[in-house]
Amino acid sequence: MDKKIKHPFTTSDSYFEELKENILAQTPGQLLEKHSKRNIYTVPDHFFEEQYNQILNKKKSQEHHLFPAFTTQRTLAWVSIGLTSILLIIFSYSYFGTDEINDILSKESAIIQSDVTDMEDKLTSPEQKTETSIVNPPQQRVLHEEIVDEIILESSSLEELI
Amino acid sequence: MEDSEIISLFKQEETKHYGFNLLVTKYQKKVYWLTRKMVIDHDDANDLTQNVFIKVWKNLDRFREDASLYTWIYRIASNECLNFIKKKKNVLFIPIYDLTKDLHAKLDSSTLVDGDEVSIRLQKAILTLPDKQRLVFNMKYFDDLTYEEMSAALGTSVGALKASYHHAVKKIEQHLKINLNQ
Repeated sequence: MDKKIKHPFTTSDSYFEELKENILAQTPGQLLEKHSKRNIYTVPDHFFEEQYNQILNKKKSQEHHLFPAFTTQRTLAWVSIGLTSILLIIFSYSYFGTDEINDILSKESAIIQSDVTDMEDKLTSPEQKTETSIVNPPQQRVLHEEIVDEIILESSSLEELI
Repeated sequence: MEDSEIISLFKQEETKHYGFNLLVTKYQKKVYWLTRKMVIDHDDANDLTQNVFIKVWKNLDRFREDASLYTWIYRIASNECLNFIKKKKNVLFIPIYDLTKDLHAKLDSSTLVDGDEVSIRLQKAILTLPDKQRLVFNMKYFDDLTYEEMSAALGTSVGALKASYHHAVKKIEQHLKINLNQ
């Protein structure tokens, strides 16, 4: 008699294998554990050496970028941007600015001219005209008096003569 | 060479370049494989890796040594990958653009993929995950990072990362079961 069997129950031959499979299948991560963690991705030959050099080259170019004024390409770009903007300003001024400015200037000069003529008109108003006419008569009177005096003198001299 | 030695070499003007060269040599492959698993395409991964190291070059002076250099570089690399994918999804504002489908096609067509059918199925299952969850899964499953290291790299709590990884594993297994039964 087999000493190992101490109970009357039996199972199928593969029962314990299946049981183990079932338990593992219900435990998260067990299925993944079966998979090897092998990296399936590959790289071209000598890739990492090339990449190492690429990184160092990129680093060098970044060092130049720290001083953008000394980078030829950047300087040229800035100069061309500056020149273009200056040319654009000149162009727009000459094309769109002159007519408007001339128009404004002519209008302003017309306004100034009209103001001047108004002032002149005001200066030659009737009151001022009377003032000027008042100024003249005394002079005329003086002249008249002088003439009268002369006449008197002449007449007196005539009387003396007579 | 230890990270602290690399940093001290970098911070001295006369050994700055030597320190950076050592840093690139030490972390180049890790960064490349992290980005490659995220963007699948070799050229994109190459560009992203270069960008990561240029950012490291520009910012290492400001690196505070309260975090490890390793997790700091991982953080830069993770952000680069997530931003790249985000930009790619928004490219030309085409709403019907399906990045997952695009990445699946790259997996099938690339000459730089060498894996058996089961491994490729696993990769395709991983591609169905949301981007950040995919990043978490790759870091834990392939790179064997601890949750603490991942937390420092991604700025997410350990608890949230554990939950995210657990969900990722469940989703992937579900995906694999469905595909294996088909």
